[in-house]
Amino acid sequence: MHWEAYHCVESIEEALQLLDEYAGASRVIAGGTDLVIQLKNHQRRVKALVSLSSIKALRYIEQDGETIRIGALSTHNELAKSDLLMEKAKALSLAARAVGSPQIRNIGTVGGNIVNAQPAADTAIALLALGAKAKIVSSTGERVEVLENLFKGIGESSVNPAKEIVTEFIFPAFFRSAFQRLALRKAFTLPIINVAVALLIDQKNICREARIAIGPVSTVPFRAKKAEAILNNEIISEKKLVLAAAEAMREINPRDSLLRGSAMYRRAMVKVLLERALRDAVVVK
Amino acid sequence: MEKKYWCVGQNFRKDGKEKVKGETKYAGDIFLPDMLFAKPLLAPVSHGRLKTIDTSLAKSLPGVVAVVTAEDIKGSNRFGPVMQDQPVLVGVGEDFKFLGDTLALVAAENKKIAEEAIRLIKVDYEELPGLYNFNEALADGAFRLHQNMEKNICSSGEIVIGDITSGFNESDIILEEIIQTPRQEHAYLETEAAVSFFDNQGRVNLYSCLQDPYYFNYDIAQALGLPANRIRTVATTAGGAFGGKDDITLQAHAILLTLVTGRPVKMVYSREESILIHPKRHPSEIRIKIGATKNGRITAFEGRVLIDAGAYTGRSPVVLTVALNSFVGPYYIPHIKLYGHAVYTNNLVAGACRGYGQPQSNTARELVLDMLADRLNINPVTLRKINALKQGQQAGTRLVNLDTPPTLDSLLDQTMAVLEKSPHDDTPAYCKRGTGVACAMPLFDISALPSLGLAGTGVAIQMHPDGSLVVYASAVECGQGVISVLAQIAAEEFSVNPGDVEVILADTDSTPKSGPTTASRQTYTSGNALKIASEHLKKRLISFGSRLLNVAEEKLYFYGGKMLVKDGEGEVPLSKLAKECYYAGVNLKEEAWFRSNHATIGHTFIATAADVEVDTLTGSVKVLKLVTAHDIGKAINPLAAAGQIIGGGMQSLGWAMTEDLMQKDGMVVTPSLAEYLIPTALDLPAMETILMENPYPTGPYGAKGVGEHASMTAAAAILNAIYQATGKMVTNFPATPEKVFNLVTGIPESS
Ligand SMILES: Cc1cc2nc3c(=O)[nH]c(=O)nc-3n(C[C@H](O)[C@H](O)[C@H](O)COP(=O)(O)OP(=O)(O)OC[C@H]3O[C@@H](n4cnc5c(N)ncnc54)[C@H](O)[C@@H]3O)c2cc1C
Repeated sequence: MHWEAYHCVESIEEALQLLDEYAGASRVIAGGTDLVIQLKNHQRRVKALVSLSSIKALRYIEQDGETIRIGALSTHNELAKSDLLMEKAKALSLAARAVGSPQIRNIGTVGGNIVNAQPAADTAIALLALGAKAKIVSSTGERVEVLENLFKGIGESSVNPAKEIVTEFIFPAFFRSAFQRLALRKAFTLPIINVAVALLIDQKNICREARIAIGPVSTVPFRAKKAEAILNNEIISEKKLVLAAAEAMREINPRDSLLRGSAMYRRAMVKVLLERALRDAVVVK
Repeated sequence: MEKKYWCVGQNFRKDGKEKVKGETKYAGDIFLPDMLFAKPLLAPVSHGRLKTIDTSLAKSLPGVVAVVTAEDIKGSNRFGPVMQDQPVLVGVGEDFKFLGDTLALVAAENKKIAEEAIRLIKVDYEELPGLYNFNEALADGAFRLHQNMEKNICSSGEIVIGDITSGFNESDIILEEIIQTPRQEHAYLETEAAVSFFDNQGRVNLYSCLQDPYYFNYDIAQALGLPANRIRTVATTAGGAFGGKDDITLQAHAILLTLVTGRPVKMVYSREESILIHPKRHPSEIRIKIGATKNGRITAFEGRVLIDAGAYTGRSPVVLTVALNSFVGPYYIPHIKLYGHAVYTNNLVAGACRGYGQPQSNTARELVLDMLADRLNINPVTLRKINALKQGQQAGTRLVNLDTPPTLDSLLDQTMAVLEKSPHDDTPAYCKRGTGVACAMPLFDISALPSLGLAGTGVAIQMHPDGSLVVYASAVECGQGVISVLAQIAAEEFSVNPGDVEVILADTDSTPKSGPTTASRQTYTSGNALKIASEHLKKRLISFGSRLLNVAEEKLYFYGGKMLVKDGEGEVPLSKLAKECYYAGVNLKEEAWFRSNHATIGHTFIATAADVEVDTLTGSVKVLKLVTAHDIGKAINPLAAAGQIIGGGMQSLGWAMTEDLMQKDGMVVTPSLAEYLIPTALDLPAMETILMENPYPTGPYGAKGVGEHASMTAAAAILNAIYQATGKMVTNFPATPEKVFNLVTGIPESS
């Protein structure tokens, strides 16, 4: 684990300027809970690290009309403690609470969780279900991407932290959402399966939009679009929820894992967790 | 009438404050001028022949001071508590037999350089086929891991009482089951650490977390070719041990590097190294055939225990003996036949782990008892009571004498009463609740078993001229509180404040051999030795005092820091008495030697009850409550005793639910604590402990052992609770959600 310089910057501009100066040889670091391990294991090499942790402007959770905006440097603990999220984006609130341990939640950030691009990253599963978009800046400009576009493969993001910075996540405030997670112990371990759902249900109890995200059942956080289709524009009923969950079970492709369990078991669990999450989303609020 | 004590029975903690404040010095906290840092090079695969080893590149790295191999060792290069068959370093031409074998060592100016140098050592080896399970190791024609042994059987044992055939003939029902138990890692907070250096007499000093300073000192000395008196071993306060620090690991390496470099050397294992190297709880396969009459009388018990010793002998023969001798547990069964083998494989070495073979055999038996109760349609608690051992009956081992009436019925009643009082919250329809129990007759102080250094315990006590006391014992403080208990015992004897007693532990230069801090023995053995030494010293003080005060010896006693005269005038503070002795030339240091005078093995009784909730749709299990009642004899320090029972319960819960140091074809599937999952605070249920005081005739103040005992019942109680909830027994725990789900939904294991 070697680097020549560790820069603590206070603004995005300063960070972008440094990234430019190093021309690809440096990398941004937030909480470091993923990156430091990768550097230690020689999975990544950098000449310099640019720490975003002191940029206060990147830490906020707020509602802006019909959208919620979250600064990318917000920690899991900040998300978990937010009443706004518990009320308007329960899936994200629960997902943030499920991450690691208090120590990890105190320094790990939502931005890092997304850019690290693991298929079962808890807040990634929640944000994917919530239909989040990410704002990404670089010295050449700014782009806004739907979350799906950021995930390229296991640990592979389309964001390049050697020159780009994710600044914000934006998603609608109107979803009813829920999150479920099954793991070998109650805390501080990776999930066997995690799922998040977000539903927009109108006054006639018709589902105007359903979004379902599942991990780790693919190389990226997975959208269960066939299951969503079963709910879209349909009157919500227990029967429909069960059908949708069963459909999700068919469209995923988990693998056998000595640690996380057999594919068969995990497939069965997707159905159970999805039913629970869908019921929770429908009932609550 | 209950005896009144001065401070025995109180919750006193001598080292609490310094630990809470983070001030306790562990071996890894020692820094010396000129100190080098060392790293090991471990075997690249589980089994192979070392053809060549090229250290030249590593040696040339700036900052590297020494790279040593087996060639640098002057002694036998072999260690082991029963058979000296484990290499300190595997030499060229020799075979490495498991992933924790060390091939070479680097000492460098700092850790980073040492790590880099390790990567520069070039090893040429031939990979050999491995033995990774009982079937492979025991197959006809399997290659032999140790050429001096006829088969891959490290040791065998047998216990026969009665006539097993007639026992089964007398039964109405016979049940046969196989229980498999996982490999458990101790997962202590502090990984192994050692610092060694030359003192100004040219002797090597070793400071390290270890459980038996005299054994380490002796075995390392012969392995490295030194007289034992050229090494001084100090066991530092350990951040947890649980048996995992009972065997030599990096200590011999640190000393070797000090011998080669002449400089102080520090070595600290990473978590990953610790997991590969120190011996684990043996994985086991236990077959039980049990016969009973319709009304629940067990007539015959036949059991076979296989334990996976891993690559070297370690303590496996003793672990097997203990497993077999506790197999029948707290029950009277007239006809028994028990046998078993410790089997060599190329898996991780197994050894001592809280309970020493007893958790495996006791858990298997308790699970089968619940299955038998089910078949007989008898309540599991009732079945246990019907068969509970009574005084005068033969236990399932000839090593135990029932010197006090067994207490199983009462312990069971007390635990069940707590559960019955616990409120039952509403559970969702898809969840099922269940209550399980398990009992054991845990052994402690296995003094008479053939393991180096177990028999005989020395402790010394000294009074300084100001009356203050120092206790010298080779017990090790590993969090269990032995330092507090010894201070309390000395304070009780002399009626002084326990906080004023100094306790010097585990230093081969100054403390007598007290044997290992294992087998739930130190309160019992060192406690007894200290009591005897104190009595001798008191006797001498009384004889001197009687002359000083001119009263009869019988009239003198100690109270509140003074020597007093019974119903009479006259007293002398200990400070004055000691000073007079000092000037008069009276010896105020006493050392006493205690050899157990109970039967070959001490024993006690324990019962645990558990409440669980099983999510039948996912297979997740929530342990809601764990209640343990322990026949402790006398709790010298009730809070510390309860702490041992709670901690043992936690560790056992982990073993039942999540902990499995899984190996597949020699590879370790769970190499770090990210994969090997011990319970977190959130996984723990409400826990209650009942200490049943029933003074034990040969224990200090009536105390028995306690350290390991909850690890013999908690797992079984939890697994039985799952069985009661679902009707399905997890016979190959840990009870992962997937296993429970498959059982509940009837999916066969292999699919
Ligand atoms: C013990 C432990 C337990 C864990 N448990 C969980 C868990 O239960 N669930 C879970 O999902 N994760 C878990 N994690 C993973 C990790 O904590 C999370 O992924 C965390 O959110 C990462 O955030 P960070 O701020 O620490 O990222 P960092 O490690 O700082 O960065 C991660 C990656 O993202 C890049 N990056 C960070 N911020 C930005 C940004 N704003 N713009 C562009 N690139 C950026 C970095 O360059 C790096 O490549 C755990 C980690 C540990 C060590």
